[in-house]
Amino acid sequence: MNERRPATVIWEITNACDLRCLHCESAAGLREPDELSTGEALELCDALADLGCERTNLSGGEPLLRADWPLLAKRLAGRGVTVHLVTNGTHLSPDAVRQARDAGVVGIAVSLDGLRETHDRIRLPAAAGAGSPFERAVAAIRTSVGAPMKTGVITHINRWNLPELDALYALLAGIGPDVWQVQLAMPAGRLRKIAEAYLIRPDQLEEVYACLLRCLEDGRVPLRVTDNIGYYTELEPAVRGRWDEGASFWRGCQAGCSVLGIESNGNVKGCPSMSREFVAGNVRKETLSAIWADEARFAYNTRWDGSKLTGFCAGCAYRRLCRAGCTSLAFSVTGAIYENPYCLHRVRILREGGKR
Amino acid sequence: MKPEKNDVGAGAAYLKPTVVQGIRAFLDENGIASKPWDGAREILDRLFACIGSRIGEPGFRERLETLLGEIVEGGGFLPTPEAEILRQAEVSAMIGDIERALRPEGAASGHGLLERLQAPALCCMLLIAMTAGCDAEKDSRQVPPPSAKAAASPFDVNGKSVLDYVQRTNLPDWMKAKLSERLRGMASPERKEIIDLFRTKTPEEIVAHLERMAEAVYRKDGIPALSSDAPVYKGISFPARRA
Repeated sequence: MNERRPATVIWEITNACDLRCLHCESAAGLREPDELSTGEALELCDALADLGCERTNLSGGEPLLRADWPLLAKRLAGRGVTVHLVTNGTHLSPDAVRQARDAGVVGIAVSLDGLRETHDRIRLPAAAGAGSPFERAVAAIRTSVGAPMKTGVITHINRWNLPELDALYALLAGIGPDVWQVQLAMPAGRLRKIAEAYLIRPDQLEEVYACLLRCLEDGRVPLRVTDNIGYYTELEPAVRGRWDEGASFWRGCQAGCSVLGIESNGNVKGCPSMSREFVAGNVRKETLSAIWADEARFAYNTRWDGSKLTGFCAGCAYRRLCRAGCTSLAFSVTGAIYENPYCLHRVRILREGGKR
Repeated sequence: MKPEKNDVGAGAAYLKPTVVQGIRAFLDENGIASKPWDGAREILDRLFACIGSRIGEPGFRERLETLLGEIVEGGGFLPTPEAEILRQAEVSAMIGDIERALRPEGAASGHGLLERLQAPALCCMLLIAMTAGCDAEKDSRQVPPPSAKAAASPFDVNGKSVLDYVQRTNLPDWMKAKLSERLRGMASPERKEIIDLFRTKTPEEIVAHLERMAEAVYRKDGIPALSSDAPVYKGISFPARRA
């Protein structure tokens, strides 16, 4: 239980994508010229299994645009690794779902960032005439739900879709996915260059939580929040998950401790949402095992230094557990990993003190 | 709710970087790598070390002026105002230091920012000293210097231990020792109350409870042990069973 290993791996197997989403942290679009070959990727599958990886999310870009994705999924599943696909849904045909199932994929997650107008405003097709990404995503969710496959829906919460989260939940409740996973949009990648205010303000977290609680009370679609939403209020156990699932309160960023991110060119980071400063190595230059074994490359977590906390976080009662919340969000917002404005506990305390 | 025009500011096309992000980028452009786990203080230290050693290099002064302009301009479209983790006073002091370094005669002989930041800490120290009445104790000049253990006190101001600040002052040793002693005495005791509900307990009680729970999932060396299949950004996690 106490062994450090990459239990959860998010692997962006290609940067190619047929959408140009405004918020894409990976700024995905064209296939990178130096993406891992099939042979290299299969070796990486084995390396992950050897390191004790329990579950891998094949992501992108759009993973289905990489022709050998079934091979990778099959290799991972054959080595005992649970495989999930995270897709924008535009290529998730019934055939693709069957392929996934045959390759050993046990769960598919489709991104859906709002109702039709909002989703299509965010997730722009790369080519004209490609149709509504919303329609295709919803069709993909229905296809996956109808298959013997776990189906998840992932939503980036932002200022555009915040007012329609209840309606989005109602839509999903009518379709019946196994989980609705929500996360905050982060100012990274393409999002830093959009011209309109997109990120929610920290004080809007209260509004987010109110909506999430309404969904939880309804209960038709299980809800989960990712690691960049929280932290430490009475709402935490409700939105973080069940105690018996071990995720009912935030225990600090797990990047480089039990989570690993891999980019399409073999770059390794503690978490895929981290920026290039966090790259710990490349599997072309050294083995994944060697990269992972060098804890110093993941020092932001493996050698966490709480004395560097600043601002509100430095004096917070939860600082030793929380460690400024999501490392990626803190870094992308502030430029350091030691203070995080996106914390509901902080918002409430500051509001009580008359500050926003 | 679509974004309003005044959410962005006229003509804004990008999210503005925070001051720390701007300095990181400046250092990077000048070939000075920062670790992602460097804090704001380390980034500032590195900036002034860079200025001190390279102000005479061709083109450096111009790049520094550009950075200064961006910082002075500031106030742009930050992701959120709270993202600016340097206080206004710190930014103002830094601007002054950079401006001095840019003057023809202004050699950056170690930045003055740290010294500036000591001011609030010093005020705090002196206030404590006054309220504690340490100046009334005749033998207080015999108090030995603070131990290494004392220097690890959790009292932080601007990311630095207050005890560090004490040692950096020009106060006599006996006063430094006395102040350090008083500070150590103010440390909060470990809280061991048992709690069970977030809603009904104080943050301190809750954190104690959580920390005990965390003992089961953290290694003794501070590295988090494996968590369960908790959702990770850009990934997906499925509940064990439907609620």
